Amino acid sequence: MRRVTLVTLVALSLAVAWSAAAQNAATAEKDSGEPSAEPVIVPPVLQQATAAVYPARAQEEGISASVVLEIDIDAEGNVEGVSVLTPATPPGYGFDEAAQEAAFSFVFSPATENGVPIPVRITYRYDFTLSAPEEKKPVAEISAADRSGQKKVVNFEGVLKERGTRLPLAGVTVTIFRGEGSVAVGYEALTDAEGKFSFYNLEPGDWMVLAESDGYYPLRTSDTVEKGRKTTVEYFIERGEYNAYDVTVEGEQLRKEVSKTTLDIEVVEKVPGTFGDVLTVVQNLPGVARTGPAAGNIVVRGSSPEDTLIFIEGVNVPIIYHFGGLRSVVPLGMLDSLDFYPGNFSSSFGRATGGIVDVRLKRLAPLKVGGYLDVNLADSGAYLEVPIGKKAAVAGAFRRSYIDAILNAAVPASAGVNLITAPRYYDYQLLGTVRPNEHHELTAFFFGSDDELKILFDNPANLSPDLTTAEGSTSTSFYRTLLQYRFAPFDNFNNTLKVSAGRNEIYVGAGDQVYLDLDTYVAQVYDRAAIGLGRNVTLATGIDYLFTKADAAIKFPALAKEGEPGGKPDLDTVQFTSEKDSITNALGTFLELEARLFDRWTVVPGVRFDWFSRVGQSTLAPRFNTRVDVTDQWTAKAGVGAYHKEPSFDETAEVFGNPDLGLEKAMHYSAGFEFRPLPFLTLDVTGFFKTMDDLVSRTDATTVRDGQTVPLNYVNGGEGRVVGLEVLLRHDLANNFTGWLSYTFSKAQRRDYGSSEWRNFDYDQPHILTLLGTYNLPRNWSIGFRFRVVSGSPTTPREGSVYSVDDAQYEPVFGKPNSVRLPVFHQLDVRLDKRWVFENWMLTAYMDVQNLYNSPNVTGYAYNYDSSQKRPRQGLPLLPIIGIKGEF
Amino acid sequence: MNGTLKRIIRSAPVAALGFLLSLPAAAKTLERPQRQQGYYLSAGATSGMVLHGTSDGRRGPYGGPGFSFRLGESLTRHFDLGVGGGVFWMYGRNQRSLNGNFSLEFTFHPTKGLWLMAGAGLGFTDFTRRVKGIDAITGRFSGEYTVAAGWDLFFGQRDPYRSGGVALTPMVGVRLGPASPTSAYIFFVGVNVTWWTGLPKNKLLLPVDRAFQPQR
Repeated sequence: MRRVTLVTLVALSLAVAWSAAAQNAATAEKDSGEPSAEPVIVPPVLQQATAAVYPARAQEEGISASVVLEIDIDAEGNVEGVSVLTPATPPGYGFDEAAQEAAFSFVFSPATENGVPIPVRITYRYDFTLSAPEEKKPVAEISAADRSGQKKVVNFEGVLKERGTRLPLAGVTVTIFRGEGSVAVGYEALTDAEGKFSFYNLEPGDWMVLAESDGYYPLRTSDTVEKGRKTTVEYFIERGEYNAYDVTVEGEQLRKEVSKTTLDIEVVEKVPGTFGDVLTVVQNLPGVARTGPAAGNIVVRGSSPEDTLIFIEGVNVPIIYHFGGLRSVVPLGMLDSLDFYPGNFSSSFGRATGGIVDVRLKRLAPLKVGGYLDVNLADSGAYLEVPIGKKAAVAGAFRRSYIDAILNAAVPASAGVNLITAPRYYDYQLLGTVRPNEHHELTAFFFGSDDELKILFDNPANLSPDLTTAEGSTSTSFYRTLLQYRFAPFDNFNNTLKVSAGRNEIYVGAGDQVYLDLDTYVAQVYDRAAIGLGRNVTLATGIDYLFTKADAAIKFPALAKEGEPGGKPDLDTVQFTSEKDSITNALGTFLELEARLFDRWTVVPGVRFDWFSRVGQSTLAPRFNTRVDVTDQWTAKAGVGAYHKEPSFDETAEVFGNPDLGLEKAMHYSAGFEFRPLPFLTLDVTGFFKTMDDLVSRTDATTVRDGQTVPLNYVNGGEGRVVGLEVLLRHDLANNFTGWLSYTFSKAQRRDYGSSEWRNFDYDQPHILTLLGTYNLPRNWSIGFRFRVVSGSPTTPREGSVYSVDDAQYEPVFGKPNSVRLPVFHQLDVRLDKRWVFENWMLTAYMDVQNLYNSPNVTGYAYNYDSSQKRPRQGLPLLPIIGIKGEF
Repeated sequence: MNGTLKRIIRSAPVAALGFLLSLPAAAKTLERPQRQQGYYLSAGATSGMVLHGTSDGRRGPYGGPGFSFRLGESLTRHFDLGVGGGVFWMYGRNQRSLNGNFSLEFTFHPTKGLWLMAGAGLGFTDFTRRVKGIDAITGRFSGEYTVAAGWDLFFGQRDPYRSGGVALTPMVGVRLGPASPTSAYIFFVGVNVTWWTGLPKNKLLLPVDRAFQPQR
């Protein structure tokens, strides 16, 4: 006879739900010492049940089984969802499916909280048995009756934490139950803000414990309650995924720029080929040209690298990369995000004619002591952050390279180079934040960096025929202290003051023959105040002051400038100069209005005044940006603005350059649109045009200075033009994928002083295509890829050579500057990350394979003695890099 | 090797990536216990035949023994991700070579036991040819691409709630190392011993008596 037993752990379910209120009340009582004022929760009651269809094969074979289900019940008592918590034993007979199907037809009276119906989730066991059901009184009722007169004694308590991060989990239901057949009992408790939960008056013996929360694997275990003793436990439950950025949701501020890309640090950490270095990722954005593997330059929209400024929280730093691109000087742990402006940037930025990279520091608010240790083939670094009460926190980091050891082993004896101090770098940071209340925030940041390289050449004449010193060295170090105070007394007013000071020390040289020794003290004051004038208008103003005091000793030959073919430096042209206490000042002020008109149209007119003491010039630069939200998905945008910068230090030095040089100027024009067809998908298309005037250009002319005829060296006689189109199709993190496709078409040209012909800019790359993405795989794996196709950079051909009797060597004869191109560059990089999650910490291992298919990209040519033969110099070969990172 | 084949080989990683990108990513879905679950560690002996392409033309084929290992984790019921590598010592008449590789590997399980693997990574070849009593040595590092198939034959009785286990794994594959000046194309067969750790119980669909066992 076929019989289906429907009874059973309905009793458990009801008891679980019923007892939740009592248990929560118990927890509240324990915490407060006062009688509970918790809400009264009435559990759902099964009103109508449909028997499941007994699986035919199981019936034939006389097999019975049980299935534990989780049932979601809405506020009307209807079943919204059913999932199998514990499948039937043995599997494969269809018990699970039959139980689920039956449970979907159940009807409950809704659970209520203080009389108001609420949705709940209950655990339900469905027994399939071939024997007749027994009529049993629900154990819950017995249990309740037994417990009603007892004094409440907590005898099982614990804390629930997230595995790996040790963060307490609040609001998670912990269920404790036991029973066999239809005799079962269970209770629930919710974890409090500290992840704590407790149960009282549990009978001694073994209990099963279940803790569940959305996005986490369930905790299922059992523990023992001993008579007269309190059991204390610590449970860890594991998140479904630990990819750092799967929970990051940030509101987007009103956009006012025409061209701005914000990179979230955690998103870019896994971009292949960047070693997790956010600043290197900038080179994959539209408008940025590809530079060599260790160039470390950011070439934006056809501007020279020095035309683009990089700020760390508003502080201008002399270098942003160790050794020209290996790693940036601030580690990931200290950073929050990065804004990149390829052009038409706000009037709050000045002294640049290219682009702006603005790196923002992490806003410290740790919930616990935490940090990481990062070890890879290039360097090792550590980061630690510590909360101090609820209003302050400090963080520190240190990193040191050991490329010296690797290179010493890798450089072959035939290379003719001995590394005395092989490339080594270190950097250090200390960050502190105090937020006494929402109106005040004080941040202090101390950071620095030190790079050094010493080389002993077997044959220094290979570098330059006149070079006799065998030892060459270079070192760059700097430090900065930044104090930042943000004051926001009202909703419509805020002021940010930044004061920084520090020192740069740069040395490049080979003994006494050639050297550049520059020691600079830098102080910077920046203040920006913004006041809301009504709901849709904000007025911002501020000052930007930069002070430098430099001591310099320079003994150097003339070096190749942009557009000039490189080659061996001619030591016959070595000149010497020195300066002490050379003081320069630069003062900027700005005014900017942000107006939102008709709730769709944003206009941002601004003006910036700058004064530069080194060239003795002042400028007034008007700028204007506008954006129109045509529809919710389409935005049109346009901008125009004037920009200025000083020539570089060597260009205005009296001996090497021309102290009478003036400012370089640029005009930026851009227009485009943004289309957001899906919440996570954005298409950004921007056309741009840039003109550059008064560019510093070399000249053979002479001038009379202090009664002497001297070379003029440079004049503000060059000009440039850049036109292009940038396309960025960006997929924010959704469906486990994030990435972007970036394409830039551009034409960047220069016309040198005295020339009537336009020539290609050094980094003119008409087509730059970058496709990159990271996909989160199950089990805390992720895979990332980056594929690039870029036009070859221009280069100046050698058309032969002439023999120089004086130098006893062949001097190359060059063709037209930048008139030929290197072959097209293409490369695929892949990165694989795996994270292991332990109770108190996490370990991530990664493999970053650059140039996966070993593309033989040409970076230039090496010529023989008389330039009659050449062979290509190839870039990075297939290069796997591995590393590990432990976080706690 | 002609240019078309080179292009196909070079585009293989892109295709593999695209394939993986189509995978669904599970978060906290509990899984039915299987043998090929959790981490895997596999190592064993192989035997292969190698054909070299050199500037002087083709060399080989000739054979020799080798060693291989694989290490990774199951991502879903049908896909694994890991790393693998191996070394072959090949000996032929007046020539010998040492070939090795280390690769990222993507594995597909069309059915229980069977797996198909594609890998890409770094490889090396050290090829020595004796000419008139003198050893001429050429070698290179380059990209290396592997495809292989195998079968995990598990030891022990079938337990529907057991995740992981130890298996004997016969396999066969081809490894391609197209590079200048010495390319290497290796056909290999081998037998590995494979250990699958299985998944922890909190990630498995299990009956109550197993699911709620005390934590260790």
